[in-house]
Amino acid sequence: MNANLASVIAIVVSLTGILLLAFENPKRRRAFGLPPHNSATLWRAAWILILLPPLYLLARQETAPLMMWLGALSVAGWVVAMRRPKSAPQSAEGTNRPLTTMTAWLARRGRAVAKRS
Amino acid sequence: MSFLDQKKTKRLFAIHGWSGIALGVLLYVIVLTGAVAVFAHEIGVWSVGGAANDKGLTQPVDRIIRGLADKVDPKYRDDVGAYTVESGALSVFFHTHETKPNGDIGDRGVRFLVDPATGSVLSRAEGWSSDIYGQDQASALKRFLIDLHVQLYLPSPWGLILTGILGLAMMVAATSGLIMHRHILKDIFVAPRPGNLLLHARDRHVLAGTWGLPFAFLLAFTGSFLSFAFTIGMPIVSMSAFGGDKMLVGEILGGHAQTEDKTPAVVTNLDAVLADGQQRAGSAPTYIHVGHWGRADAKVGVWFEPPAGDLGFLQLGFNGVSGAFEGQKPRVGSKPSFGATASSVLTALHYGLFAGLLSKIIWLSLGLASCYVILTGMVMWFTRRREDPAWAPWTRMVPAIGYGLPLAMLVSAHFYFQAIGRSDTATWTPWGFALATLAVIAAAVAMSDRVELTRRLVLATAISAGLLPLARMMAGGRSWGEAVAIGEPVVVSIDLLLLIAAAALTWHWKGSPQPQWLRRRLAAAAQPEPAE
Repeated sequence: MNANLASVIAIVVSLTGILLLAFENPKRRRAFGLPPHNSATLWRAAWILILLPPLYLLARQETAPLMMWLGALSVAGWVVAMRRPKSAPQSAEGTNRPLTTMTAWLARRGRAVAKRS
Repeated sequence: MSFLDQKKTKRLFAIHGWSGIALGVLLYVIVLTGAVAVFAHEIGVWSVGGAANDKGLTQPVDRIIRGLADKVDPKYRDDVGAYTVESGALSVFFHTHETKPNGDIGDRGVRFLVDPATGSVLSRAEGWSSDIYGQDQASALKRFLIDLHVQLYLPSPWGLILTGILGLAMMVAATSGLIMHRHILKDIFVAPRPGNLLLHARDRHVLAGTWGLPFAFLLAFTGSFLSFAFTIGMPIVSMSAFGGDKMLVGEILGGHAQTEDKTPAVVTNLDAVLADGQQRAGSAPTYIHVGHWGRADAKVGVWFEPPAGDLGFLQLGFNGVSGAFEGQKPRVGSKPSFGATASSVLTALHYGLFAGLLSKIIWLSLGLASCYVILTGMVMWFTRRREDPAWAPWTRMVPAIGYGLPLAMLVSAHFYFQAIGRSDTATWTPWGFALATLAVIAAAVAMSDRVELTRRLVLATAISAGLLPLARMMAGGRSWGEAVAIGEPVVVSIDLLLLIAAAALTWHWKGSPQPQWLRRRLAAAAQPEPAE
């Protein structure tokens, strides 16, 4: 498989897992005023989705896609986690607006995925 | 997570904060320019308006190099290096290794720029490689950005030593941040909490820092390694094991032949070697080097883009007379070793160039995320001290460097385009940066209202970014139609990115809070007229 295609697939699969974990995270849910949602199945599915791609890439010794997966996930995970409640104040520099819009979109997609699963 | 008592945590917090605030500005410069430098090649291509001939070393070059070899002083035929520059021209450097007046080892010789299609010589320069490449006007913008990242545009080796130290400081900040944070895993999905400004600033910093921690550490470590390898590592090795003979250390690290044979011999056909190597590597050649040109012990080394799935650039070795394939050459030395592999992997991980556009975009994002961590750390520091009159004026430092650095980089590009085609482009490009930096510092000192300063810097950055494509075209660069006609996507892509950035900044400027004076004026205007 093309190395870049392998990286993209690995990133998308693991990002789905990250979105599920973010959806499930109890502390995050409290901050959003959402009721607790503890689904062991969802939690397990999330971790499988996160860990499967790197294990596959590691087994195939695809070092470049593995590093890209790690790098992309650390940025994407941050973007997912950055989504704030609407009442949060704008930052002093006001640098967050594009990021907030993007994270809100990602979180909506995450919720849709979670509902389907 | 934390295993420290309150006192130790407090001390660590002080180390983390003070090291960050003391070195944060320089770290921000290094990290942002590093993130941009990932696209140095594309910036180089864009700044010269694209390459009409982008075949690189896949087109015939043997006849050209052979013809040039006859024109140079035989002493410079010791080594020959050839590659194509951003404009598509073939750069061929015939050189020998000599000791500079300051004791450093340098390459001295003749460099030709040649049109690979016609073989006509575009330029010829003779001297030390550092002087020749330093005065290369077309690549001035790209080189300036790289120099700023690598050594903060300071003289060697001091700049490299400073960036190495800053890399270590970044590792200290990352490690102390990791140890200090008590609930690193529990908080990994907790969005910045609203309400308290300080808490909000802290959450933003911690969240970005936590997610970016592995790569912040990795990039800082690899950066320090690259900075110290030649400034401290090599001199120590040379002094301790080779009696200070830097030339010998260079020869050993380069993996050059130990036994010499000066018998005259005809160099093998380089086109055949390049074709053979390309078939073996499965990727495009980027650089060809011939050691001991015209001698029986001549060696040819060809560098290739990293093969699909690999991290490091590939180097294949060939016999310089028969053209026979001699094997893959490690990055360091002549035989595969752990050190050579480590050096190759560390370099690849720092540069992020191993998988084309995708890895570059990811590495750029990682760099920008690290910038966010640095800036939010500063915001947190100043928010905590906002009531302290001694610290109050310094709060303007965050927008001044946050927006000031990108603005200065854009202004340096404007100066580059104004000076392009002249013999002093390489001088004016850094001057543009320096003048813009001074203007930003003056504005930060003069304006007491931080919000107003921020708004003006945002607007200035937006205008500067928006006008850059126009400045490029007015300086004689290719128009979008011409760029598309020669099949060059980089020019249009970077122009579009600049215009998108300008639009986003203008939108941000329009939506950002109004400065105090405007608020007061609007409030005064809204007051009802007193009844007569």
